Amino acid sequence: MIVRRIAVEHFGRFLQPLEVALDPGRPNLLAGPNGSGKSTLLAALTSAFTVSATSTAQEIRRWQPWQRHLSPRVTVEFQHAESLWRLQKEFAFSPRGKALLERFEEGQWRPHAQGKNVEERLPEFLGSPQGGPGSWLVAGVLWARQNELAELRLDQPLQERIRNSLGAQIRSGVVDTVLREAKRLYDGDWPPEGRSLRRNSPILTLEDELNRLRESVRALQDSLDALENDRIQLEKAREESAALEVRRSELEARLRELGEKLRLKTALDAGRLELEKSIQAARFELDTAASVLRLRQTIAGDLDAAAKAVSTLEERLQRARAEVKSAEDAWIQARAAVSARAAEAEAQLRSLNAPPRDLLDRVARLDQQLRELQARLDGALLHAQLQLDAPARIGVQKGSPEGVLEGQAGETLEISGSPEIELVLPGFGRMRIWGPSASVEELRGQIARVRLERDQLTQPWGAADLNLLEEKRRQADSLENEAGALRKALAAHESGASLEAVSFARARDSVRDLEEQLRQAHDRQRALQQQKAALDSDPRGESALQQAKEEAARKLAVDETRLRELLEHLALLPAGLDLEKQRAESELARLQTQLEQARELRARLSERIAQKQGEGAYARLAEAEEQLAAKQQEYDSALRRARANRLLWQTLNAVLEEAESSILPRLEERTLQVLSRINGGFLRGLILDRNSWKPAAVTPAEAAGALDVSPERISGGEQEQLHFALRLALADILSESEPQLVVLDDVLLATDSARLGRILDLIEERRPRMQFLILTCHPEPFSGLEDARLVRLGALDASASA
Amino acid sequence: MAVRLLHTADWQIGMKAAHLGPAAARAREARLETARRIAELARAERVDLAILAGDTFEHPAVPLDDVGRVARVLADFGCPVIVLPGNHDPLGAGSLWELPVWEECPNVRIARLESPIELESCVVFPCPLRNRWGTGDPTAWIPSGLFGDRIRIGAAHGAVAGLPNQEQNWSIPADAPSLRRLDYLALGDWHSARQYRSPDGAVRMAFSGTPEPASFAEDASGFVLLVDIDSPGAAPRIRQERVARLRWIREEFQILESGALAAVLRKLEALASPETVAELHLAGALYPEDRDTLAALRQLASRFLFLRIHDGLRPVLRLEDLPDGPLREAARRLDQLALQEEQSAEARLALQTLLTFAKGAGA
Repeated sequence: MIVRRIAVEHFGRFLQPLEVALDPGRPNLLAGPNGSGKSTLLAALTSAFTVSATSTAQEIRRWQPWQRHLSPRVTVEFQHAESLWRLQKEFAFSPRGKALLERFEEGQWRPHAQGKNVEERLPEFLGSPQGGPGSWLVAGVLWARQNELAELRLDQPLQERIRNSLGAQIRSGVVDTVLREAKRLYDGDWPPEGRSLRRNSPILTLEDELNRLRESVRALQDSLDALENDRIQLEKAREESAALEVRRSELEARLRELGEKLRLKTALDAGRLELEKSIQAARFELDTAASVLRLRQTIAGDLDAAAKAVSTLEERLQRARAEVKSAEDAWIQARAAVSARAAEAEAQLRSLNAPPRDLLDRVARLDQQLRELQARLDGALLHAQLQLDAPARIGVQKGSPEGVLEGQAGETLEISGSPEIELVLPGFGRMRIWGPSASVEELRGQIARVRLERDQLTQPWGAADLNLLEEKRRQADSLENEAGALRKALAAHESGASLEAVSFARARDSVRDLEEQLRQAHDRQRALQQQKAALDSDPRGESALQQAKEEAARKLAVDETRLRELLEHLALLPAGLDLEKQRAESELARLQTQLEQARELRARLSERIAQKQGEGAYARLAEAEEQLAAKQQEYDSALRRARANRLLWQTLNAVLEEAESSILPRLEERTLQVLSRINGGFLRGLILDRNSWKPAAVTPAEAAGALDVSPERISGGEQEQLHFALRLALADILSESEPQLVVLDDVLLATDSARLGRILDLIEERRPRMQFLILTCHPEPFSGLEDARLVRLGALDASASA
Repeated sequence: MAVRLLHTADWQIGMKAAHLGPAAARAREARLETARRIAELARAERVDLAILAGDTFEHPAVPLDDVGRVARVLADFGCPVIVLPGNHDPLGAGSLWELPVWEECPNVRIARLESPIELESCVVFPCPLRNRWGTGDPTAWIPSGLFGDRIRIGAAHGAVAGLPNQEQNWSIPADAPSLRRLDYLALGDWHSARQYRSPDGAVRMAFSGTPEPASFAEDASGFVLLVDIDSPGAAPRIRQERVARLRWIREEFQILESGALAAVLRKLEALASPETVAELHLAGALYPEDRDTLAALRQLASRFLFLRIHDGLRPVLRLEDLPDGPLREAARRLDQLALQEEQSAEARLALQTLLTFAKGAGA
């Protein structure tokens, strides 16, 4: 941006309008004494671009004319991107502030923006549209205010622009071409971040095809594996069938063998039965003959014995019956005796009329009660005792006993009474005795009642004496015991438990036994008689019977021998043949089923194998594997190429980024170059702060080795030159694409004339692309600038102030 | 009575050759053509007997068509043919040896049992396999005391025990001929032809190898053996006859100087043929001036049945050919990466692309 004209009104000391025209092609010197408004003009220029027209901030308020309520106005005409622009602002310190941006088109000024829109356009003129309203941008770098040369104000968007500018230098020409080509290849397969392939990358299509082929190969291989499995199953089924066949043959052979044995056993069993029957018959015949012979010999004796037995038994029976009669009589007698005695005891008991035990207890208690009452009565009566020395007749007028009492010498007479005793003592007089006589009558009454009760109790029993009554009770108890024992004995007789009853029962049993034995003896006798009759009925004689016996014995021996042999044969046959045959038949049936199932399985497997063979899975697998291999190769090749393209792109970008990120070293280098031009290489090293880009450390040329010192440790003039060199180096970069205005407001005050001269040379070199505006109180040192345009502010001001 | 025997094995009909890409089908077909040539040879040499010592087929599930074609080829041998099931085409339920097609070839005998086969001129003791894998000696059943007055020939499939570089699947003793009193033991399984001397100095055991090469690793394949035995106990005379149709070539070149790639191109041009399968391994440096030669090499693929080039060339970087700045730095970095195994191929390719672009941009 190049400034052509600055006009102010009501701005600081400039109450009246003041206009300063600047030459874009020459250095512009604005000279004036202190207070002439040089810095004010710079502030107006700065405010026009960086302060909003509606701002109320102190930074613009301070430019309101003293004691005047006036709105500062600024107008700046400037050139940017080959267009001429005019910016007008009126700062009202309120929303009433005005801003207008115009462009010179077709011979006249045409408005382009007003108000807020103007503020939004201004960063574009200051070097970066990315800076927001109020950004200083190039102004922060190129417009150095008084005493603020070191205050480098570098907004981030401007830093970015400087980086890009340097980057553009790196990315030019061949590099740009190669980069474009590399990007074209890269974009073909990768998205910007480059981690995974683009969604529509042909490689992903290849990958899908590859996966489909793999799946196809897998399926075909599975099919072949299934076929192989079927073969193995079929082989196994055949082996199992063969084994089953062998087993079936064995079973059938076994069944035949078992059948033979069973038939043999049946035959042997039938033979055995026959023999047994024959043996039985022979035995019978033998026994019969033998027994007839034997019986005929023994029958008579047996009969005699039987008769004797019968006779003996009859005698015993008779005796036994007699014993039964006597036992019965004894029993009856004993029973009668007991019964009579029991009746007698009952009669005695009744006649005794003994009171019950509890009555005796009551009587005893009443007697006790009487004694106690009497004692109390005695205690309540008055008593007199006369011991006579001579015979006397005592008259008892009151007392007991009442009347005349005679007593001999040495006798004692006792009289008692209540409430007094009155005695007449012949020759003596009357004696009257009285004292306490408590409750005597009551006691007498009680005694009478008790006696009455006692009498009532004892009266039915015929005696009042307790001892007599108790004696009667004792006798009664004894009789009752006896009666009880007699009743038990009678009960035993009745129930048959008594000795006599038992003897009677035993005698009866004995009779019954003997009767039974006699019956049996009679039966035996009859049987023997029948036997004899039967024997007598066989017409055969002794010899015939003997012969029959021998014949039967012979036949028996033969049959028994044959039976033994047959049994030996049978013993050789195993047990459970039937069961074993049954089991074998069941197993054979199961085996037949298994064989049938195996046959069906083999048929199924064979059919499946034939079908799968016909499907040609192997040939299809071979073809699929071939396709897969080809596709894999194609994919690998494409992926390798894509990765190579990515590697190329990433490598190029990494290299470029590193180059571009090394802006600070470049800037440091350029600054040192400029500084060297000024001070002859006083510093050989410079480190800029990574964030602010301000000098952070310097290395003096004279320092041995690396020695970074703070810029504050160099002289003020050298600091001034350092900061100036940095700004100039930045200006060099910023002016590469467009000429820029550089403003220096009294910034080289500490620089000596020699170095200032070199600075002027640097300024001269930059004339084609930089517009310089130097504000100074002392224009003389700048006289070395060729063709510089000098504007004396005082003269301008005078006219303006007028 | 003498016998002339044609010993072959490992026809591997139906072999997959995925690594040959689109040439695989042709390679498979070539094996059948070779089988026909073997039949012609058998007739021409008037052999008394042919033995296929296993792996006639690559897989138990090869297409039925192929089985039929092989049966027809075997029927044309003009002599008895004994076919031994190998580990790739073993016996077993549902195997292709149960197909009815074999019944239509009266001269072909599938050795389904471990049982001597008596022929007019000799007795053959076949050792068929029933499984893909196994560790036993398939020749163990051969009785040494039978047919002592006849020429005794064994046929087995497996590895020779104790010999290096042989995968021990179905292990056959190295002295099997003398153990089993065989005049000759025809072996299959190993694809390269090999012969083994017995203690009496005669070669009585041999691998015929596959008649049609199946990989680059085979150093002696493509043959059949014609074996003449004059009498029982006589030393066999063995003749190797080439029958292969395709030629498999593997070449390795180390390129150390500029222009050396041209010689490789010339050599490969001379080898180019529609019946040649070639693999080329290039290592060393790719000079900028040789890039076109490399491109020409790649284009030669259309003149081979199959050509694979393993390009391990590392582009030679002449930094001075690039302008100072980011391009040179990027090239330098890529060149360094090309030395690291992990990213070598990509880095080489990236570098080549960079150099190509830089050249195109006028660097």
